[in-house]
Amino acid sequence: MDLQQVNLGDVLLVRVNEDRIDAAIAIQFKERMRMLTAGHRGRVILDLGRVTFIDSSGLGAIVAVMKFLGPERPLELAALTPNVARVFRLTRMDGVFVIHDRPPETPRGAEDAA
Amino acid sequence: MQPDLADRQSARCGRKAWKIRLRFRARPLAVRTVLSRIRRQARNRLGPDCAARMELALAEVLNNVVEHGYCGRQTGPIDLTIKPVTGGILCRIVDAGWPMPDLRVPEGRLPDLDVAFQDLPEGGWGWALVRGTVSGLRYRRNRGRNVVVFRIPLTPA
Repeated sequence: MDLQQVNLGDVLLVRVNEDRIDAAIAIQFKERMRMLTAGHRGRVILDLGRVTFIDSSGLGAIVAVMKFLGPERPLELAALTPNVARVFRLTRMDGVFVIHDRPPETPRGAEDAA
Repeated sequence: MQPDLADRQSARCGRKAWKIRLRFRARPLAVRTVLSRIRRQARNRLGPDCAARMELALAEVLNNVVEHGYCGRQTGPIDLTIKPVTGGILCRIVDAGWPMPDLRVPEGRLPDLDVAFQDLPEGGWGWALVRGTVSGLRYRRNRGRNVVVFRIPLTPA
């Protein structure tokens, strides 16, 4: 699974370069997020701009990531596509996460492909 | 195992009369393959929004068959039929797994969110997502098989 991390100091941006977060890759997603965020202190922003499909398993995986990061390293979401936003709305989980319209600006040279 | 697609598919691509029939094994990757395939076929015919609502409902019902219907058994076949009806798309899913509890579709009540951080739900939304995207959801147990039928409205309710 293709996740890309960009370290912005206090904020760790993780781009999901996949079009789906579903039952078939939910466990893998959780494990990769655990590895990518190890050692980071501060907010984590998940850029979902390329994700066009999520199911209840994928949503559960995102919640699991938020829980293992804990309140000290809040997980926030950015750039929800319409189909992903629909799942958050129908489950009312849009009220649980801080959701940004777009991901934070990344300065040149901050790219750090994982 | 690869989903057994080609020999069971009869997609008649006429302007009105088309129908998708698929038989595949109840496994997560087979479900994913089938959904991607249906997505490609449905998008042109139904438009992206209707196709996306159908994909979400099918994903939840099919994953439920994989995780609960065939729970404790190796796996088994799923038969999926999709066809246009007046004002929408009719989907029928048949499997030979365990019957639904109390022989009815779960209510699909949303999990409680008024809980401590570590108790936030990591699942339990499946039937709420189905009920939120379909109309006319029906279930029956017929000769050892589960039959789930629902409609996806062409325009959201």
